[in-house]
Order: sequence, then C-alpha cells, then structure tokens
Amino acid sequence: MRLFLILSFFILTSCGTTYKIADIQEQQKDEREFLNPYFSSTDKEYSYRFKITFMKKEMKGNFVVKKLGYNSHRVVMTSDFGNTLFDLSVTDHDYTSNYVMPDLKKKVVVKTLAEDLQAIFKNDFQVDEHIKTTDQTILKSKEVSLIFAKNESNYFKELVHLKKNKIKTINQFSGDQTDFPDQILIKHNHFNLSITLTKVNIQLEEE
Amino acid sequence: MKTKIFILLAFFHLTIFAQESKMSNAEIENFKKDIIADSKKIQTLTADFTQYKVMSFLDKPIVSKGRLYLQNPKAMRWNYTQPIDYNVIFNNGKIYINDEGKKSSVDLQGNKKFEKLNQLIVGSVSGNLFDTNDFIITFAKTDKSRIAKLQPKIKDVKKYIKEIQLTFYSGQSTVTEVKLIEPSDDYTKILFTNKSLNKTINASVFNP
Repeated sequence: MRLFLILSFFILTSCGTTYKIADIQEQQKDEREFLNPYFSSTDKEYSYRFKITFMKKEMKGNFVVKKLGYNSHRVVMTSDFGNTLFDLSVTDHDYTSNYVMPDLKKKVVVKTLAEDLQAIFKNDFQVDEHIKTTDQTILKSKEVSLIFAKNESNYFKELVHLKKNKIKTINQFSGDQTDFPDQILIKHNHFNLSITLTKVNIQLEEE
Repeated sequence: MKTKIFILLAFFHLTIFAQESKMSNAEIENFKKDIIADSKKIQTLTADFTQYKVMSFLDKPIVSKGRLYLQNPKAMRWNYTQPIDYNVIFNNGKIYINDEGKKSSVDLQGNKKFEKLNQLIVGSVSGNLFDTNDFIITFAKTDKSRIAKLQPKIKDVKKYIKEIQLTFYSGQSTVTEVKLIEPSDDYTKILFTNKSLNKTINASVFNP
C-alpha cells in the first residue's frame, strides 16, 4: 500500500524535464500520420515475459497482447502460477479493465500501466516535424518523438512519450524489424518504474 | 472459417456437457471414502505438470511446464522449466522462490490468507479437500473420470477463485487435472502426468 501512495505522490508532483534533441542537422515541417509497425497484425497473439520494477521491487510473469481491431488491443498479464493479474482493453485514447487482481486494483496502478501500454500499442501517430541528426532520423509532435536508426524509416528504435513537450516515458524497441519486437523497455522519466517485455521464443505444446 | 471453428467448439462443449452427469449419493460417499483414505496414504508424490492458462479472448493457451514434488502434508516444490527456470518451495510455513537464480522468500506464518492458500494448493494436489467447511462441493462423473467441484465460501478466496475442479481418472485416487476457474470464467488447468507415489524424495529438493 505504501508503494502505491509513493507512486501517487510521484505522479502528482512530477513536473518533468523539457525534451530536447541534440545535434540537429536538418529540421523541417512534415505533417503526417505515421502507422505504428509494432503489434499491428489483427488477431495475432504476441507472447512475452514481463518484468515490472518499481522502487527495487519486482513483479514477473506472462504477458500476451492481441490486436482486436483498428485501434484496440487486449492485453493480459498473469503470474507464473497462472492467475490473472491484469486483463485490460486498450484503445488509442481510452482503456477498460476487464479484470484486475484485487491486491493490484488501485486506480493509479491500472491507469499508469494502461497509459504506458497505450503509448506503444497506438495504431498511428500524428507527427508534424522531420528532424535529422548525425546518426538518427526523428519524427516528432508535441506528444511523441519516434527515433529511427539512420537508414531506417519504418521500425523506430525508440518512442519518447511526451506530454506538453516533457518526457513521460522512454520506450526502447529491439529485434529484427518485424511487428513482433524481441524486447521492449518502458522507462518512466520521473520515478523509478520500468517495464521490460521479452519475447517468448519457445513454442510450447498446445492444448 | 471462424463459423466452422465456432460450430466445432460448440459441438465439443456439448459433448463434454453431455458426458458429464451427476453422481448418486452412494457414489459420492464412495468417492469421498476412496480419496480420503488414499490421500492419507500419500507420503510423497512427484509428477510432471503442464499448466494451461485459458483466456476467452485468446486462441492459444499460455503454456508452462515443469515438475512437482510433494511431501505430505507440509512441503511442496513447483519446478517450472518452461518457458523459464523458476521454482517455488513451500516448506514449514515459508515460501522460497528461485527465479532464474535470483532467490527470495516469504514468511507465511501468521498470515492466515496464505496459510489457507497453501492448504488449498496441497489439498488440490493430494486430493484431500473434502474434510473442510470452506467449500460448497458438488460431484460429477464421466465415463473416464470422477470430478469434484469446489466453490469457496470464504469471501477473501472468492475474490480470486470462483471454482476449483479436481478430476480423478478412473482407477486413480490422485488428482490428474486441477482446474482453477477465476471470477471472470478464465481458468488455469494443470495436467499431471508421469505420477509416482511414495518414492523417497531427497530432502534437498525442499531446501531453498
């Protein structure tokens, strides 16, 4: 319970650092809709192991996300014993909790998790600037900054979630440029909370 | 395609329901007697297990595998090997977790909720959950098995588990399937295979 209070405190009081891009070589207006290449296949089930770290505490288990429609994903997180911890439906601007384990049912916890997932599952991003640095290309708006390696234009390696141009979370993606990244690291900027998702490669026998 | 799958699923569900029938009072008494008598004879149990987490919105279950060691009535080890190496030891009121080499422990003594949970897990595996007033129990049978369905009465347990189904295959008095149904109707099914009874388990298995 104390942890949740601390979390609420951080969320309420955090003011944030302004997001700045160093070493800009080229910057131009480029208003467009950028389609999220990750978790984009409808009805595909993406399986991961998750690890949430908060104030030196850890929680681990299984994580599966499925895209159900144009801008809706459903995600389930279970403990290793199989019981459901979170079952959330997430759209671009909203979320519903289908089930949350009673011990974790705190508004601030569910909201933080849902918003973190919203940021990476979003169907498309409205961007208005195209920026080039020496080794990166960036598509940017006031809400998001999508960072690509130099010769890549589809699979961003980092998504910086912004609120009024201040960093909310930094999300790093790694893997072989497919809709199913090997690893995702979601890191909060204002407090010590991170979520790591690691792809499950073993295909176990089905029922 | 989806319609076909749906019809197929509906058919399977119907056949499952059709196969299952209620036990007579005499059958219930016999069943309880068998299980209680035999579970008292269980000193140790080892078995491979496959755990299926089934969610209504997912086509595929989330599958984990491993091996279970039980020393009746106090010590138990769940050794998960897939998708990750993870083990949980319940021993003398404590839980020891080894998560890919990272060890931690929880002291359950004095924590009634966890003591109940521990009893419930040991009871589910050894089959001895009938001596308690904590559940409303109903019984069913199919041509291959006998099933006990336990609905928790305790409010705190009800929040997590709607029903526990213990399936005993004919001729066996240890559980082969444990199904834990959550309030949302999603469930976890644990299937035990390669069971071996009353063979000495090295004490170190239950040491963290």
